[in-house]
Amino acid sequence: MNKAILHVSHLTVRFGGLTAVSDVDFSIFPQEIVSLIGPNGAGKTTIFNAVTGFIRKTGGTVTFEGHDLTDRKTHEIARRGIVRTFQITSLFPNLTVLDNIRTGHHMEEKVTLFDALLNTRRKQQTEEETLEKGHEILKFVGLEGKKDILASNLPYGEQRLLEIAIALAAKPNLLLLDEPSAGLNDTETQGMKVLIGKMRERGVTILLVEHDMKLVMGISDRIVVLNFGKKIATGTPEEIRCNPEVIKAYLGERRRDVAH
Amino acid sequence: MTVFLQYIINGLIIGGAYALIGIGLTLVLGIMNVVNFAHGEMYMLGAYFLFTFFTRMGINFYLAMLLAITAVMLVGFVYERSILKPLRRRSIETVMLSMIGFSLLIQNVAMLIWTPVPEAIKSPFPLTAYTLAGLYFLPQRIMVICVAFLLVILTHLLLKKTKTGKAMRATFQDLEAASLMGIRIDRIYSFTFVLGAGLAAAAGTLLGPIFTVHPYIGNLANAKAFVIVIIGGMGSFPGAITAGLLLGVFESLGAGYISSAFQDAIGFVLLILILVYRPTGLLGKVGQTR
Amino acid sequence: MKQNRILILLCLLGSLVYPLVLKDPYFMHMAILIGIYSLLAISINLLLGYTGQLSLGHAAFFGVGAYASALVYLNLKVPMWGGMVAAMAFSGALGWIVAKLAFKLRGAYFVIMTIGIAEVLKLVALNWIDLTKGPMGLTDIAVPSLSLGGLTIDLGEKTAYYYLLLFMVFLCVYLQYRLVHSSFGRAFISIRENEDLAASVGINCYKYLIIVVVISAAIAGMAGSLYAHYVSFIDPGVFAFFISVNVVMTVIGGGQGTLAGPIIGAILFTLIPEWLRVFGDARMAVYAVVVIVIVIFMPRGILHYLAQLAALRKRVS
Repeated sequence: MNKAILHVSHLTVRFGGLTAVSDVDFSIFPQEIVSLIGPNGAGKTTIFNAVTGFIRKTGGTVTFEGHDLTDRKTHEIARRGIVRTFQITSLFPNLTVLDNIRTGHHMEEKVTLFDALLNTRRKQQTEEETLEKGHEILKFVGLEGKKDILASNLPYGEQRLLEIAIALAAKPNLLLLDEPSAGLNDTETQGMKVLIGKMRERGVTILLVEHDMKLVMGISDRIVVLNFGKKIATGTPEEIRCNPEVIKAYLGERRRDVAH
Repeated sequence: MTVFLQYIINGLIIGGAYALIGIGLTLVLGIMNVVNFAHGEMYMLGAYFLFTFFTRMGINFYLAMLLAITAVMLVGFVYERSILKPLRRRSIETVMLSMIGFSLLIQNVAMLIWTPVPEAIKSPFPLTAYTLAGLYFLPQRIMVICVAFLLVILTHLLLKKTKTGKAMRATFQDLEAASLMGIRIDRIYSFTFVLGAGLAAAAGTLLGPIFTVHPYIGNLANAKAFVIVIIGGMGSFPGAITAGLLLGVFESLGAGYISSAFQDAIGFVLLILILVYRPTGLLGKVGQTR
Repeated sequence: MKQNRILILLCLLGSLVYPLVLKDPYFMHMAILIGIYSLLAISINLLLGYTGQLSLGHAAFFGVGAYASALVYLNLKVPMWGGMVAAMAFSGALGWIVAKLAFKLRGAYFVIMTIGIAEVLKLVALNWIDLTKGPMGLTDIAVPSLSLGGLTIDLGEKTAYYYLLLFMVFLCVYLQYRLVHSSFGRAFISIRENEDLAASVGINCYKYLIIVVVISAAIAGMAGSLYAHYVSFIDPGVFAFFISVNVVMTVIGGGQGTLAGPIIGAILFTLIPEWLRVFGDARMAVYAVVVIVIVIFMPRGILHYLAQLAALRKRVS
């Protein structure tokens, strides 16, 4: 049995009087693709925010590869290997595509101020490596023709690809994708599905929040279902499809997709 | 003990006028989200208009005050319509820097009009103080606290009881919702700015006869206004009043017990302390500092 | 681009031979002031142009540098080089303090904090008479002679001081270039562009903010030191708000976030206040108009604006 790499235990998040997430437990195992689904407002992105240190947890713990990340800041959590993307397109708008990716590679660049100012061998080597890595990732996501285009000038679908490219540059062990197919058409969504599979092959474990049921059912090893901040079910896509609690939660929302 | 109380009284009086400038700025900052570095110039213009109407033209003091405030409100209106409105979509750095530019411009135009020679507005009140329990009350200062108090009450009533006031509060809480409810945001903005300018000008007419009047008094007034707004919390009406009075009292005590140099520094020191420990102010909401 | 390289080379050569061509002390004086403003411009450019944080209190670092250098010279008899090191150390330390104090603040709050700090320092300089002689200021801040081998150069000579400044400017331009084209530069820019995204890829924004503020402050302090030893007299006016504003204008007018922008801006905004003297009393009013026009209509710099106009005209004709 593979040991879990992410273990979320009794996670609770309260804002003022509102409980967004209530006593949620789940684990993720190496190289799994797990989807977090649930109706709007179920608390999915809140969980992402809590796990990656963007918001404070009211209770519960988060352990990753043996390290306790419960009270760590976002950049520290990233250093441990958890990188996330955002629901709303989040890029470095005034930088080129290549520079966006190079910036994402920051953690791997062990350069001191001394190195930078004096342009030492180590710094030059680092720059070369980053550039190489940047090109490699560009190719991997399929953006190599666009490397010198400003991120803000990319069409929407390619911006979403760039977001993933930036996250990949940070060499994540666990990648949290927040609605990667939002706003994408069928072709683009299919491309996204292939990309996610490719990433898993590279050794990245993936947790996604998604609304596109076809994508979720087609790609997930396991699914965790939330409703009103609570976990209501977890299991394989087949199990979830037939789960009466899940169907009830989604009643009126894309029932056709769930029951297919 | 009496000396201590005297300092407190003096501080509260000046603080009352400070509160007016602070309220004006906090309304503009909170409702319009504009970092108006030119706010202090409204104060300066208030003082100068009073000087022109009362000292130069001999108009009745109270009438002159009213005219001065009205004149500045007019300037404020023109300023808001022609300058602030087009700048609404621009970045915050652009707005801040252009406000500084306009502040500089207004100061220097004032300097060209009225000359840089400091002027004095001779208070129309007798210079003998009333005494009560060993404390001295100069008539001019009594008027300051009375008028300040009156204006604070009036503004409070405006915000709480009138339709416009409600619209202003709605805009402050949620711009989108307010506009979706049919509130004419443009009009609210103009009204808010003019109100803010008027309050600053009122402070200028009140303190003008106490301190000297020169083109750069707006700088100090501006600085104090920002200190007050940040200490009291952006957009907080009670916060501005509290902070204004506090500032007045601290300055008075500082000037009395330490030195008059300390007086100007105290505001900035308080500002820095608040920014470090509680940037949203004593009474403001805990939240955004971006 | 080949054209750029040639242009840069020409400017380099031009600046090197400048004193040989224009010997008039007034032009030398202007050139030295431009040099000092260039350093300040680079300092603000790192903070505003690359990291995206506006400081309207940079006179604080400039002033601290000037006073530190002057006091070290006057009281400890340390020559100017020691003064410069002291200036950078004190300004850098102040920068560290400011960054620590302001760590949660961005946008308008950060700006107001910087203004407040400059004002407090001005008041300290005015009132701590024992140390700074208050409004009387510090005088007789002499300029050293530089002895290399048997050759002694009197840096009191404007020409010599010009070359000193030129050297410092070249150095800072080079350092700025190196910094920007490194992981540090990318981290700074990421703060400007998208802090949340930066954090999510492991960039400790707070740490880099401190680094950029300290470096920026140290350079401004160095400029202050060079200024103090040049004019040989300083008073609390070195903390003036006008300096803070003018320095920011150099970067906005010259083009923020570029390598040449600060230099161009420094040239413009050293000369503009001079040229405006013709307006006499209306001088500051016209300056204010210039600020307004540039900030509102040319936010990416005068050159960028002119280039846009040229492109527009090309399209139309």
